[in-house]
Amino acid sequence: MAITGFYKKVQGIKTYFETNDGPEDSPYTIICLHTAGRENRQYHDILEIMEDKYKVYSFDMPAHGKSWPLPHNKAIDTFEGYGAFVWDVIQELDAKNPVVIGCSMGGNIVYYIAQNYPVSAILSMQGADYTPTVDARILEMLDHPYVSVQHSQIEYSECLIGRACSEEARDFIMLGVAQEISSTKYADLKQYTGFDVRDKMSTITCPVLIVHGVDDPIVTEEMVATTTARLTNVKKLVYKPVQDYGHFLIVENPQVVCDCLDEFLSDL
Amino acid sequence: MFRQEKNDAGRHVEAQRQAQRCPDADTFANKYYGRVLTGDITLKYDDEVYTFAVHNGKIIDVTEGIPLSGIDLGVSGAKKDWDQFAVRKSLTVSTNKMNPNCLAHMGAPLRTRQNFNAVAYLCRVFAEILEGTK
Repeated sequence: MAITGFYKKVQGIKTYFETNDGPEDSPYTIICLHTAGRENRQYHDILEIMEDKYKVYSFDMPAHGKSWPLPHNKAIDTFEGYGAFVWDVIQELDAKNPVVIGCSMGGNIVYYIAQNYPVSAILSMQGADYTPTVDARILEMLDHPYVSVQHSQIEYSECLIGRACSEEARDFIMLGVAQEISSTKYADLKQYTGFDVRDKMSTITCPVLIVHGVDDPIVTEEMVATTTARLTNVKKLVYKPVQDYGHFLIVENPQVVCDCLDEFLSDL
Repeated sequence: MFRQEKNDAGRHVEAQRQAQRCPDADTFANKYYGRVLTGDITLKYDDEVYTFAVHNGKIIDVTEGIPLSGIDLGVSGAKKDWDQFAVRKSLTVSTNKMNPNCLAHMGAPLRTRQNFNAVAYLCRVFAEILEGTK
C-alpha cells in the first residue's frame, strides 16, 4: 500500500491530504472530493489502483475527517465557498492539468468548479446540477440536541447502497455514518439541497465524464439525464451507467470508476 | 362489525409477532434500534387507519384509528404509494419529495427523526403484510 498522508494549509485551514505518490510525469493530477459528512478514505482503493499511472490526491474538507474546521468549528455551507476551497486546494498543490472528480456532494460541485475555474476535465459520480432533495425539517434536525445524526441517518445511507456492493464496502460506508459530525453534516446537506447551477451549465466547456451507479434512489437516472442535457458546449461528454451499484460508487466499485476514468483521460 | 374489526386487528398483531419471530426481528431490535422504541405508530392506508402501541420494541396493542392523545409517530399513503414503498423498501426514498408516489409522515418531526430507522422497518413489515393479504 503506497498512500502518504500530509497536511497543508488552505485558506488558513490545516487541511489533511492523502496521495498515491503517482508518477511525476502523470499527464493529469487527479483531485478527489468525498461525499457529504464523510472523508477522503473513501478514495483509498482508487488511490491504489491508479498509483502506477496517475498522481492522485484526496483530502478532507474543513471539519471533516482529520482536517481542521473553520473558526468556531464551522464547516463550509455554501457551494460557492466549497468550490472556491477546492480551487485553492488545486493552487496550493500546484497541480498540473487538474482533473477534479467527486461523488454525491462532490459529484455536484465539480459542475460548479468547471463553470468557474480552468480545470482540465471533471468526473461527476452520483451528481446533478440541481438537488433539492433534503426535506427542510430533516435538515433542521441534523444538528439538533435531541437527535443523534449517527443513528437517525442509518436508513438514509443504507438505502443508497447498490445491490452488488460487497459486505466489506457496505461496512465501511456504514462506519462513515457512525463517524459523522452533526454540524458538519448539516452544513454539507444545506449546501447540497440548495445546490442549483442549472443556468450556467452551458458555460462548461471542459471534457466531462459522468459515471453513475444506477442503484441510487436519491440521484436518479432522470436527474442525471436532465443534467447532461444542459451540457451543451463541452468538448467531450461521456456517460457511463453502472448497473447494480449505488450512491457510494467510489467505495462500492472503485475499479469500474478507475477503468472509466483511465479510458476517458487516455482519449483526451 | 366491531368483532370483525377486532379480528382484523388481531391478524395484524399475529403478523407482527410472526415478523418479530423471524430473523429480521434482531435487525429491527438492534440494527434499527427498535429495542428503545416506546410510543404509538399510526399507519394510514387509503382511508384505513391503525395505531400500533409499542413498548421497548414490542407491539403490545393495535387499535383502529388515531389515538385520543393524537398522532405520535405515523406514516400515511394511498394504495399506490404503499405499493411503491413495497418495491423501494426505504422510507427515506419513499418520503423524498423528488420521487413520485411518496408516503407522508404524520408524526411530530422530532420524534420521527429520533425513531426513523425503527419506523422505517415497521413500515416494511406493514407493507409485507399488505402484500400477503392481496
